[in-house]
Amino acid sequence: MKVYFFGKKTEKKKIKDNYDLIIKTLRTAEADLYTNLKERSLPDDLAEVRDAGGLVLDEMDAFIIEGTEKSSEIGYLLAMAISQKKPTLYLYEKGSSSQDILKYLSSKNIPQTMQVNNYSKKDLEKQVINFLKTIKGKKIKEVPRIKFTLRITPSIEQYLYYKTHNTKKSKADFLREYVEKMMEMDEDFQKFLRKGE
Amino acid sequence: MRRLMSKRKKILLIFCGGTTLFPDKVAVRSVHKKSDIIPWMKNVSEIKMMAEVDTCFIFGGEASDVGAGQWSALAETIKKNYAKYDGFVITHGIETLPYTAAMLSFMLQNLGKPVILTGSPIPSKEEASAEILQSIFKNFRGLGVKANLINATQVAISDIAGVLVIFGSRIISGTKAEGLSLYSDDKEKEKYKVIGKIDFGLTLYDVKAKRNNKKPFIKESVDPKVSIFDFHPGMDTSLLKNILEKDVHGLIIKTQSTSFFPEAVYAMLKKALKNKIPIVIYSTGGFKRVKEGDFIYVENMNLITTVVKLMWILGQTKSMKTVKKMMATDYTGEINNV
Repeated sequence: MKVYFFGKKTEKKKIKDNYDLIIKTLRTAEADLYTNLKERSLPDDLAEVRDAGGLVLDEMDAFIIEGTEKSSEIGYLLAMAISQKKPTLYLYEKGSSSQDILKYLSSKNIPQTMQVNNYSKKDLEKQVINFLKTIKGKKIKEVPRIKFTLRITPSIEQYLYYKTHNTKKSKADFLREYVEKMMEMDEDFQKFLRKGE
Repeated sequence: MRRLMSKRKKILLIFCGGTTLFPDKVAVRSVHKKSDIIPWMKNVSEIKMMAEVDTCFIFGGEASDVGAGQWSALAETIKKNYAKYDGFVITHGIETLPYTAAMLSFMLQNLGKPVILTGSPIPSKEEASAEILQSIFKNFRGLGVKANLINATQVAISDIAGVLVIFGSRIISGTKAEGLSLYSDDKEKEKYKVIGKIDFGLTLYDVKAKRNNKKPFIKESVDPKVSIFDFHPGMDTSLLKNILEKDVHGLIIKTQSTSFFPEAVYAMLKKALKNKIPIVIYSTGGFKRVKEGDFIYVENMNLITTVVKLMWILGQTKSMKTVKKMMATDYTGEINNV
């Protein structure tokens, strides 16, 4: 999944740390990351599009824009994202007025593919992950790092053994994959994610 | 809030054709008349996030009908509004856009602001045919007028100056858009003409003019009575005679070599020179025959720029000597751009 992340270059440590966290989260999720903050030469397929006069931005699957620091680039990227109907997450730190840029559009013109959220350091990672989950047809990888104690019955244990013995999967992997499938199929939950709640 | 508002750049979006949107559920897909602007703009409201946009209507017909009248109107509009805006974006049908871009490059010199031409790849005549539209859409990979307009607006608020063409991600000088394949893999050829690109941001390779406060020279007079004659050996020379007997004010003879000219042709051309008709001998293959004094030899400009430049020069002067001198002058980087 190709994701373009934009953040205005700044010397403010707090904002730079937030950029780093977004980049780290995207890398952990194994997104194919492009960003104005780190130099990266284009792979052959994108270089071909660029050399032929095409729009490289149109080749991205999603945009993430951190708009706490104002920049003329943000208006451009949002305009392009809306016109190309790209899934877009527009983030700004709680307390900043960076959502003002959207006042130039009527709510009718803001597509459902766009999420506009404020964030705090605490929920930034979760917001990025939730956004990535809403991108149709694209899978993301998350690190299972939340510990959870689950007591199960002997028959569930028997079933888990039956499904996983002689495979490379652990019982925990099996359960995680099963829950992920349920999440994918659950339309109400997907709608809930799209609302950015 | 007030501070944010004051920082917003202001652009004038001038309609001169080339506005057809890809098929979608929209009420007005093209701007044919002034009253179409408001409903059409609802489809491209995204650009309001980038700049404050005012609009102006010049022309809403086919690109093939754009000529001296529209060129002068465009130059007049920019002249009148020059101080009020940070940049100008002109929509134009792509078929004849290189002519208008070249003409505006001569009409609007010493610009301190950007004047950007862009347009839709869809001719408005094709509005009804869904099949043709789909094939254009496929060929242009989504580079509709919306994307072009967003890119044009981004360049119009940047620090570049001069007349430029935007199509897709390419930024091209106004006098270098001839033969531009608007979606092409011919990298070498395109590289020569492209002065910048927009991919993840704006990248400029070869920018001669930056935004400045200098006063522009705006000279919008044009003499459209210029003709091109494509000469080849064995041609019936009466065809040339027919053109010269018409009310032509300037003639461009396109030829591979002047050594092809039979004496009868030379005699006719010399007579035309005597009648104060400037004759431009246009060849990109070099001149084998000794250059004769009164002809104007051009081998270092593209054909569109040569035609348009002669029209513009004849709008400024009829003096044969001055016409010759002006044809050899590099006004806007147009020389050596074949």
